[in-house]
Amino acid sequence: MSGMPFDPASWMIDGRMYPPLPDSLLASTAESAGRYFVYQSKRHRTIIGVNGAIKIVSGKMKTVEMNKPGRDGRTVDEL
Amino acid sequence: MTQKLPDQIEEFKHRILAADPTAKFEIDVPASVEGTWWIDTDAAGGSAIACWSRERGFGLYTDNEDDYGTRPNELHRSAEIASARLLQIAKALSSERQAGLTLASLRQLTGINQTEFAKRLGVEQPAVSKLESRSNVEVDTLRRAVEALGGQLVMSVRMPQFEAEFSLHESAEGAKSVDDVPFGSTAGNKAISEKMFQNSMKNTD
Repeated sequence: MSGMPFDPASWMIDGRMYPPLPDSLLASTAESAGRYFVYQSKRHRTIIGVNGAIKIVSGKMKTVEMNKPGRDGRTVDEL
Repeated sequence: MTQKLPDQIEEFKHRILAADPTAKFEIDVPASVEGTWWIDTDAAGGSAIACWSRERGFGLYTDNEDDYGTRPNELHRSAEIASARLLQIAKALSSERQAGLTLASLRQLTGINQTEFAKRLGVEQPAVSKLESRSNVEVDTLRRAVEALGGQLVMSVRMPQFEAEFSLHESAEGAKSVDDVPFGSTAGNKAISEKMFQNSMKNTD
């Protein structure tokens, strides 16, 4: 427990780190439509596949921080 | 469906390009009109991240940390001030890890020079120059300086169990000495405040 109140509506930094919130969902593109959803946060992109796969990339170099397959065993890149 | 770039972001870009024609932007478009736009900017020799939403205005990040999911450190309602502040942050982050708001950068954002600032504080310009370069300033001195720039100094505490706004006294009546008088709370305190400011300027870091 960090001791910080959980307030995802707050935009100001409060010492907590939040998962992607609905307002950070990016517009779909020809590439993403029907395959995955992209959520932007500070220096990170969280990509959620339609099969539940999760991929998190960071920085301008798009370093892969996490890449977990979805319920059918496919990763975001395999959708 | 691609959304049109909001006027506020257009103005933000325009003002940054006016200051640095080589500035580059990478803009992410939200899925909904109520969503958050992300504006990665390379300018003033560094880079900085801004975001914008219709509800909250501009959010700026003042550090280069890669922490996941943190929210902006600063909120700005106008594109004019947000763009000026982003340039300050980008320049600072080219050599530092943090770009906190200093008294000098706050003054610059308000568009006044040191001479005018000194006049508002009732001191000479060199005293302001010294004040802006100090790393340790008395709270009352800082409060008066911020008020001279048209703002309000707000302090807060962050405890393990709670967060709250912090004040030194509940009311002026509770003050017992010159040192205890809340700064500039009444016209009568003005002279005391002047004295305190002058005294504080004599202190060293």
